[in-house]
Amino acid sequence: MLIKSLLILKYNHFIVLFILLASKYLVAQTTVSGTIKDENNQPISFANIILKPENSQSVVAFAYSDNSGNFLLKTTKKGKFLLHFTGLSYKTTTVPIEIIDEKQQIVQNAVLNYQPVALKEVIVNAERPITIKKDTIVFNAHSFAIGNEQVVEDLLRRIPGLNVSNDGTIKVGNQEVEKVMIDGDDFFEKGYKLLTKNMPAHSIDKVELLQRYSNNKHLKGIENSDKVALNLKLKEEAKRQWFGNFSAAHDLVSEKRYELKSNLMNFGKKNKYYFLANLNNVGKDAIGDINQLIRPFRWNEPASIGDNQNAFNLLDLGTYVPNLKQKRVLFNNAELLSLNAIFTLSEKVKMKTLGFFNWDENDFYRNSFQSFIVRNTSFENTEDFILRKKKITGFGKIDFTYDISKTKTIEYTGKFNSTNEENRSDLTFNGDLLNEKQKSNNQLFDQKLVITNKFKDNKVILLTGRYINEKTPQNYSVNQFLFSDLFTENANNTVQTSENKMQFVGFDAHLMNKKTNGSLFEFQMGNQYRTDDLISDFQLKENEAIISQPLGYQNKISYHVNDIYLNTKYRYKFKKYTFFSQLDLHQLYNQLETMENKQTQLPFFVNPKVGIVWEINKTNKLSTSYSYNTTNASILEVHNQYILTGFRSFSKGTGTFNQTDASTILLNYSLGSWGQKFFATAFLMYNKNHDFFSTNSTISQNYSQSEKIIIKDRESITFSSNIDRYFKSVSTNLKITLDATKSNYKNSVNNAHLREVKSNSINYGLELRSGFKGVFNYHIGSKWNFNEIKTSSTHSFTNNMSFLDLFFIFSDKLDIKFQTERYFFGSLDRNNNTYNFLDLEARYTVKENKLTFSLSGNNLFNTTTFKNYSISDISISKSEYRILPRHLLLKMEYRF
Amino acid sequence: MSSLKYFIVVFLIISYTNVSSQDNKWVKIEYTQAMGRHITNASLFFDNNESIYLFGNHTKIDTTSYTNLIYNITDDIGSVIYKNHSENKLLTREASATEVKLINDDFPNLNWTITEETKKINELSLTKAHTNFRGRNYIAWYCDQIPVNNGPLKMGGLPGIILELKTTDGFLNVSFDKINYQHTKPVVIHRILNKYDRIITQKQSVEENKQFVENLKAKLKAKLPRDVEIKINVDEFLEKEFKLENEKQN
Repeated sequence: MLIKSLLILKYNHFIVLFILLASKYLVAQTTVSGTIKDENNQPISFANIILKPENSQSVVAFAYSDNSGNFLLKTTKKGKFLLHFTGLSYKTTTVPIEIIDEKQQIVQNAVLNYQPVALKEVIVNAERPITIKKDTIVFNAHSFAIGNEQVVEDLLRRIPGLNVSNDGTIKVGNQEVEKVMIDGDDFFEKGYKLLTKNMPAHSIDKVELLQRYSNNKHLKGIENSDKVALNLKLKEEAKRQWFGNFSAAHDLVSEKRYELKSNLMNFGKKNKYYFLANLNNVGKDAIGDINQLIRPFRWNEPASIGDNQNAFNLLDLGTYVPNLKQKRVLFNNAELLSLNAIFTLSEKVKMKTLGFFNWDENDFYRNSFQSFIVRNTSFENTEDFILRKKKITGFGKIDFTYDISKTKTIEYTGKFNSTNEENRSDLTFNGDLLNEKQKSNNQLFDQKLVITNKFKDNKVILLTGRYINEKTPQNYSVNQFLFSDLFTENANNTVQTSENKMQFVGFDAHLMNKKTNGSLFEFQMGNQYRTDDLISDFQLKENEAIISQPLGYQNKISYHVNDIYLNTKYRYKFKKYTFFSQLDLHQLYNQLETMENKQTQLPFFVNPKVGIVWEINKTNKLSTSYSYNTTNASILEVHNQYILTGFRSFSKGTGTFNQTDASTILLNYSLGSWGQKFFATAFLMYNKNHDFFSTNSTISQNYSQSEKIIIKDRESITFSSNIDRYFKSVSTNLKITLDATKSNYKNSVNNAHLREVKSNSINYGLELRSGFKGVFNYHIGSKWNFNEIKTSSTHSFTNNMSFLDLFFIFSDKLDIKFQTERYFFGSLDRNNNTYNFLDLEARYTVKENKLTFSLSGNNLFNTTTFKNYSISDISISKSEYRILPRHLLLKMEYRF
Repeated sequence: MSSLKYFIVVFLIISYTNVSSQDNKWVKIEYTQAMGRHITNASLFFDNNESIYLFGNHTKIDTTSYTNLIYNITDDIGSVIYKNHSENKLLTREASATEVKLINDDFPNLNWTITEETKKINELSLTKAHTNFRGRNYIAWYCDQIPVNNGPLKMGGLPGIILELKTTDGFLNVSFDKINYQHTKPVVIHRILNKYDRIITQKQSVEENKQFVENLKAKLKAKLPRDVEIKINVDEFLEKEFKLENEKQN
């Protein structure tokens, strides 16, 4: 009895406890419910009910009426409120409500009166985050920035449509941007990363994406362009501040290898400055970085007359190394300093200046062994070559742009360059030591004026004038006399002074007419006048005295070429076909003045070109073209006396005028596109030279003399193809490449008859690259190269280059890359035919775009020499080059 | 007799205006939408109950070059999101080179936090609200002068139409350009609801998309030449996470 009552008591307690506890967790809510109907007593579904405090606009609670017009609002607040009933096409009804108790249940119905929508059409005129104007899309930086962006690159990552890769390459779709301008001004062209990785983001007001971009703004819409560019507009009140970056690297192990780089910039709305300094002895050619500032690469663009004209260097102490990365063989000590500025003088006038100084010292080492086998003559030459090059370059460019009106612009560009080179070599030739001394100078003076007039929306005319004056004086002396077989004099050294003075004057008028059906018609006419003065003095000396200036080895020649030309181009697109055709007419006036006589010639020629591009469907494309070209001889093919072009080689031209003709047929096919699983391209080119410059050479142990001659008929055929296949199951892409070239030509050696030379080369390669998501990725490949030259005998070789790259991306901050290469030369002896290299690069980012440390190990296997095997129609050579020894650099990059 | 005629005429006129005004009760809002790398024009047609949001038909960034990746192919209608509150239907229409598919989803349960921040655009007063949906944080500006539970894409559930919508990570940015009234129900709705190749659930669609992206990323990375490496970020789809929605909004 007692136990039973105790149990019941406990049970009751439990229930009471439960109720007490439960009530604590039951939310005290007021509910407001009701039904909304219209004037005809029909329920209104999806009408809006909002609860707002009496004197505030903030929303406390809201609900929508359901299919039957019923609604239910819940709130925990108390006080005086207004209940708004709204619906599209209904007049808003407001009812005051007071919530006193937390657990009230208010019922409030409403009847809404019909009211046609009173709001007029709304067209937004305020600033939008994105504004689209034909080919320009303008992004308001403020709408996309989060607030933690440091540099422009961070801001550009937030702009939709822009794709910024890990290394900073900016693409739109799959197309890289041409340039990133600031308020329409650009310093860097494709070197824009210098800007995007360093300029602070907070001064940017708008980002403009310019599609179908043309470098010349008046050509927009007329020339067929698929280029894209970015233009960043600065905020008016953006304070001008200096910003930039600084990186320093030093060798950890032994040798004093270092690299110092610094970029300093200041961009304001009126004036922009950019300074760059680069000091290194790790094999990096700093001029490469600013080459786009000096010679902007504008292939085939209008107003480019004269871009292909330059004076010739008659003698070059060659430092060519095939097959290897330049950083392995360039022993240098370079200092580069560059100053650039853009001044906005007025609304219509802009001035851009660029200048740089470069001091460079290069050391070059080569041992070579050459076997000459020519008919009945055979001999061998050994050379042990050490060269020291000292080069000082000063370059300045000034650019004025004046916008006469919205459709007319005048642009003037002036360039000045002066390069001084001093080379000295120690050359042990077949056991004898000789020293070469060469002094070389290059002076360039280049002026260009372009007037662009877009006189109709779809028609533009460009008038260009250009004047170039370039000189290449050289002085070359060798302290030994190797030519006792050529000259009877008793000399013991030789000196040659030479110079090619070139002057070019050109005028060009170019009309472009874009028709309504999208086809483009171009008409161009002009006059180009080029004169070359070639002087060379070859002296045989005995110590300091000049004992002879042999006949046949002195040049004093003036070559004038005047070309009046007319070109028409037409490009027409019809459905899936694009036709293009071109016709060039040239009337030349050639004049050759030597010490003996004066010759003139008036050749006229016609060069046609036709082609078709057929887009069979979205994955197949075929294009083919045929062209016939005539080339007028240059000064080097025309001078009639020998010039020394190396310590043991002489060369001369034909002594008369020549035009060479060639026909070329091209065929190109592509299947699939780059992103697809299977992608293949094939390219075939057949070239026939109806006449061409070949040589008649005399080869002997201590000298070689070659004379240019005109031969008929040379043919070559080239085939190249690429196949890409992606294997999903192993996330790996397979790439197969095949190139083959077959050519034959004729020449004559040692006064024999013309002989035929057949040259064949085949390259084939295989690559596998992974696309794993995780930490690790690999890239492995191998490429074989087979070369064969057939004359009366056959020489051939097979080389191979293989590589294996391993990538480890541990996190956003740390990544390591290993690169190994193996070179194999089939025709070298077993002990010397394989070369291995290992490079390592580890990067640690302390703070993104602010401070980064990297460890760079080059040539970790410490391969000291590299041998190369090559063949020509007269010799086989084995050369050995010295390689930059192992060095381990610790580099720090800091942005300020 | 004449007064009856008069009455009939007046009645007819009143009923005619009543009927026709009911036909023109649809509203059209034109937006500019930037989602990931695609910037397109978008339109929302709605009345109290039904709506369609058309987007993804023609991207504004044209990069026709020989190396362009054919990434976004669609048909003349493009991508559409259809909502019907009374029937509780939320459909997404996607068209690719090979098929047109409809994806069936539940109305999202968006717990909006309505702030006190307001701004004015023309004569409209907008209020700011934010929420989190399927892996992203959204900021929306709605206008209660147009008291409709709707907005771009799958968004809605605010006491007014959403005129601006963006995600805090910058992936999505939709802003309105134009509003006009007195439209009729678009005829394309019939074609959207009836002409399609298959219909799947949201869950199935998420799985299919995931597979596609994984394959594409791996393929691109593996095709690069030597000395080129890139890191590809996956943000291709707006909805990053997916959980079964048990509760329906409304």
